Amino acid sequence: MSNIVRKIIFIIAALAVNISAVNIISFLLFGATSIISIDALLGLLLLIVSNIPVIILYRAMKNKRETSYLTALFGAIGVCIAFITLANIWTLTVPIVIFSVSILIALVFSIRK
Amino acid sequence: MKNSENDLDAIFNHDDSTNLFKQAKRKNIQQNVVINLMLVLSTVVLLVIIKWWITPYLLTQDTAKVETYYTVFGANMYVGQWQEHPKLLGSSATAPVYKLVDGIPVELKTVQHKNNTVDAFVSSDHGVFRTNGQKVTTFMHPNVVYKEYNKDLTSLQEDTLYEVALSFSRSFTPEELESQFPESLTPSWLWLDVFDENGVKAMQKEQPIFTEDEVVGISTVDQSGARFENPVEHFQEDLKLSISKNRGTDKEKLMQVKEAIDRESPEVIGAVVTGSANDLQQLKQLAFVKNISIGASVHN
Repeated sequence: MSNIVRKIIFIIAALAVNISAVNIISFLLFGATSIISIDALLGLLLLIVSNIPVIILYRAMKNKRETSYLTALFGAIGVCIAFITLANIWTLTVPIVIFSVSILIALVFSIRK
Repeated sequence: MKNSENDLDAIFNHDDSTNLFKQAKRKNIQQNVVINLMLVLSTVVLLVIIKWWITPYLLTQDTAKVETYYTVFGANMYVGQWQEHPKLLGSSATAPVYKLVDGIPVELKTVQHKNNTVDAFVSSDHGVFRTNGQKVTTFMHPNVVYKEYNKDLTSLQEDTLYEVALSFSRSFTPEELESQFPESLTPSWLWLDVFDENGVKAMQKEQPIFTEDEVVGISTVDQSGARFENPVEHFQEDLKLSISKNRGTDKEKLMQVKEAIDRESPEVIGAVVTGSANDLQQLKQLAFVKNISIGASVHN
């Protein structure tokens, strides 16, 4: 796989994760009166955690590690699906499970053997 | 010792190593195909996800364009609740456009989030109509001399509420106009003069009669019929918002309206009044009303 293709897929994944996260966070922050609040802190935390697969994807792209790259990509898709589930059915359990599993998969396969 | 010799033979046997290379190559190709397929699939899924999140935002942007446009253009016209139909391809949004006739909504047409075509009216001996049977109101500019004016309200039926469009003989400021109407008839919309001198001169030859869709004006009531405290200020804010949302020819038209209003304070040259047949008869006595055009109606 060429480096350009890797970069394009990385950009698409980063966009998908962040658009999904920002949409959900904007719901969290709806009606928040001040910038520094628990809601804003939660939102920031959610943004950072949901970007873990994106960071792993970037590292895998730089180090040219195929397995880590693929699993991070699946992790990114999982995070997006978790956000879509949350936006559609508004139950916490299913999205949290999908989200955690996605992050775990991305993390586990990124550990260098 | 013999066994190890056989193993070595096997390793250095030319035929076996060719097979080994072939097998490894095949396996490598298979692996690459699977990985590339997974990557393509993942990319497609990610693109679909991006589209899924972005579509409602884009639809809202388009609906805002249409909605804000109708706050400036169209006499006594309001855009109702949007129905959005987001799809992977070919998303759409539709909303009803209605008039308020004495507080009662009368649906005129349906608008889409984009590509709204010019309305087709049906002309007959009884007037100009929309295809849903509602009459189209018309306006005449005070500085243009027309062949014929109409102030006939004899066709109004007692058990029906009507909307009528009034064309004045001169311009008024919105404040001046407040004292001109009887208490039971307060205008729900005011036609603004946005034509410059050259425009009026050009109109003398053609004597254009303006239909309700193409006129610019101020709504004095909101979508539910409640009166605005300061309609002029409200209109100016709507106009700014509409300019910021629209693009292309619509934006140019809106900019021209803003330039005309900024040039001199807003002048009212017509209005829309709604009410019962009895109440509306009083309009005939108003000297500054040059032409009356009957519009939408609803049974009381």
